[in-house]
Amino acid sequence: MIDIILMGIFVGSIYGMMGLGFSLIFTGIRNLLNLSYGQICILGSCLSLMFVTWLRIDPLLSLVIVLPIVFCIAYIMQYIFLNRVVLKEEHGTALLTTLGLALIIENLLLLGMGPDVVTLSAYASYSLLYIELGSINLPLSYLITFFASLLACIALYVFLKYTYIGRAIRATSESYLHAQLFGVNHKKTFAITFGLAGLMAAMSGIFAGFIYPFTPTYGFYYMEMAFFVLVIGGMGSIKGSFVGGVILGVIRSLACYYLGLPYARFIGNIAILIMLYIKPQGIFGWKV
Amino acid sequence: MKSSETPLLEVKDLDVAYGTIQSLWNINIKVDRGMCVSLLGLNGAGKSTLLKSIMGFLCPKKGSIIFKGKIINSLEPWQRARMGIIYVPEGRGIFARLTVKENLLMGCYSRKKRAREILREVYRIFPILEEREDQEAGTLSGGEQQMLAIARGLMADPELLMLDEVTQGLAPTLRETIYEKIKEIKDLGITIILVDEYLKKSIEISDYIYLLTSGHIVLEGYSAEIIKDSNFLKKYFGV
Amino acid sequence: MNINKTVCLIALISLILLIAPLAFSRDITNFLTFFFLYSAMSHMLNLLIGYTGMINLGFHGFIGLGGYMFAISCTIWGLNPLVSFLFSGAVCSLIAAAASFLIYKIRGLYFALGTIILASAFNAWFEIWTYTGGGYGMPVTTFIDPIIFYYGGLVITAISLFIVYLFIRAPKLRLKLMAIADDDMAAEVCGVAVFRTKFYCWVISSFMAGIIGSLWFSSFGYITPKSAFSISWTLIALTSLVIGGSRTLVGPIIGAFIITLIRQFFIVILPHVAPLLYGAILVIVLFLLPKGVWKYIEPIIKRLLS
Repeated sequence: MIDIILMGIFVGSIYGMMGLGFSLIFTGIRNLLNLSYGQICILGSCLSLMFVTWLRIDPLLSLVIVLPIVFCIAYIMQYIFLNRVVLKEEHGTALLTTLGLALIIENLLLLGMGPDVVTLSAYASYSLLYIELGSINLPLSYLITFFASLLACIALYVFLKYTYIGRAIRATSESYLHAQLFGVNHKKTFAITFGLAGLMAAMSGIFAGFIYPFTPTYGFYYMEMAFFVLVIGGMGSIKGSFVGGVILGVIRSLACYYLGLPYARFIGNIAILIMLYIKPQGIFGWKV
Repeated sequence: MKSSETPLLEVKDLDVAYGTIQSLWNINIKVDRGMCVSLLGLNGAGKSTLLKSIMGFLCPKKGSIIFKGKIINSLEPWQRARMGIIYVPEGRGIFARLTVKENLLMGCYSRKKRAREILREVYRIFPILEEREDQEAGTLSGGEQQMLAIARGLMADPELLMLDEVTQGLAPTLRETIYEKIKEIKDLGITIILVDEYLKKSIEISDYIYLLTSGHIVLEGYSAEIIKDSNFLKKYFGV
Repeated sequence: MNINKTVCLIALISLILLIAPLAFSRDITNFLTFFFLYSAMSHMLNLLIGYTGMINLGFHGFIGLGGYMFAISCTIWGLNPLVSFLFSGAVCSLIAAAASFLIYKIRGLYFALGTIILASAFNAWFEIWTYTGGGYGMPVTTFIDPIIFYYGGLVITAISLFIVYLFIRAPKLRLKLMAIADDDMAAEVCGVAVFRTKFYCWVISSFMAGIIGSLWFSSFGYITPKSAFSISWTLIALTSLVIGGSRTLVGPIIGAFIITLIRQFFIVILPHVAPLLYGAILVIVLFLLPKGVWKYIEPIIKRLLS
């Protein structure tokens, strides 16, 4: 059973990163629920696949190309389409704009690569390698993605806590009016925040692409996962998102092994709904 | 204002409205470098409105705001902040979830180079903040938060510091303390615009006074002379 | 605005719609049917989102549930189709009532996502449940030919429109609804029975969703979890609502019309161009005409009619 739990932890780290990006948008950009988040994860996976097949490079290497592209796309999305509605406090319009953007991204990807389900692991040279720990076989790719996710979360934490831009993001998330008083361009800051969230999304999309097969229509499903992490781990805490993700990963792993995926999905959904009612702020989070 | 030098801040024929409700009529103000100017008046007279307009949060219907000889009407608040106009808002506006030090560092967001130097100076004036450096700002007491707000404004190395109701809701001893700090800041040579309900102290500390009633400037002059004006209180209360 | 002219116009349109299947070609009848069902969905979503501020993104959950309930009662149990419709609506209402704890405490972002999770839960259930064929789905009795499908759609749209009309014409109720949508806590403090009103809207829209779903799937002839609980149901209803304009009676109708038009033209080319266009139009409309098309057209039409 230990290997199942370990696998759960490894996969959970990816969920954690997914939830982190989602939380970053919600707390950093005036409580914006961005429905296109899942699509950005998939965008990361698809772009990676594209470069991997075109340039014949390792998926991990494709991060170097894909991340800047996704950052720019996310930055532009926020700056041009979303800043207007977010600053006007029109939550409904903002929500629906993100829905429109989600539809656009998803269907552009569908047009580009078709509805077939694909996976990135086929292109990684080490995807079949295992490390043996006693009686347990750990796939190398899982280990790599685990440490990469952990590193990314730590990097984000350090960035937000110790850099000027990071502080500006946190200050703007509390009050963009007061942040302006010290020279912070709040529109740019919101865009950077979404850009960062996009980085988290794309990375988690790529890492998830190692483990699970994906297709552009899975976008909303990824967003559900991010939301689960949020409900379990809580909003506004990096530690909370990562731990929440790991918990989700372990529970899912165990549930899938003992109950099979469909049952696990059903029970999981109901459990989240109940948790939403009882303790919506999650384990580490702020009050909702 | 007898100085022949260009005033640091000039407001000319300013009309400001909240939507269709006009709140300022024909405001004309001059602030010279190094001066401490007080805006006096009852609640609702338009003092905060004027400061917010100078900062850029409100768009004037008519008139211009001139800073260091340049018209800044079209600039956004964050651009004006970067030019050196720093506004310490009423209600403090500190970032509750950031630590004291982080709040201060936010203050010098646009002046990162001299951060260390200014921080030392700020800690000299407000030693209590150094003690509470790593505490979350939201856990400070009201007076400490007020000092943090002013200190944060200082961190921005301001050319013009606008203080809006910085002693609001504080106990009398704290008010005295804050005014001592404001005096220290004034002695550093920083230009100040002060809006405060503590009439006696704000007249004492300032060089020049503008009295507003219902959105109009009804009286202005050097504070030493204004105090002697017998009509002053009448005009203050709008009688 | 001249009342007589409006009444005449409505009467004329109604007459045309009534005889359409007999007078016009198959294609047009088909088009109109889709239009009816889309606008019915849009009306119900209008009730939830536009008038009570409950952003329901899991609407597809009840459409699928309705479809399955119809399949069970009509195909498996062999009940009369009309009874099956009512049955599926009733089951949807009951389950909606059971899930109403969602509306009680949870708001905004969490509520919206909660509804998606609810729909996912339904999806997951029907994947497991072998009674209805699990992931492979099951055939659904198609007792109706396109003409009956058409009239069914017409009736459902009329009912949806009527429901919304009732809600907003009753003067007190309309104010109540808008107060709730704007700030439900403030409304509660003013004595509006917020939960009760929301509850009714929630249950009624779920009932209608069930019936709409039943009609859809009885015309398709086959139901699978994937097609039943596809999020595109909600997306279409939502897009129609936004384009046409929420909080209005006519808005959803116009929005549904535009969406059906797009679908008609592009469904032939490539399957993904239509949703792409939905998304693009959604973003553009929200950018330029955030209140929806109807709010801008309304004054023009009113002038024409007087």
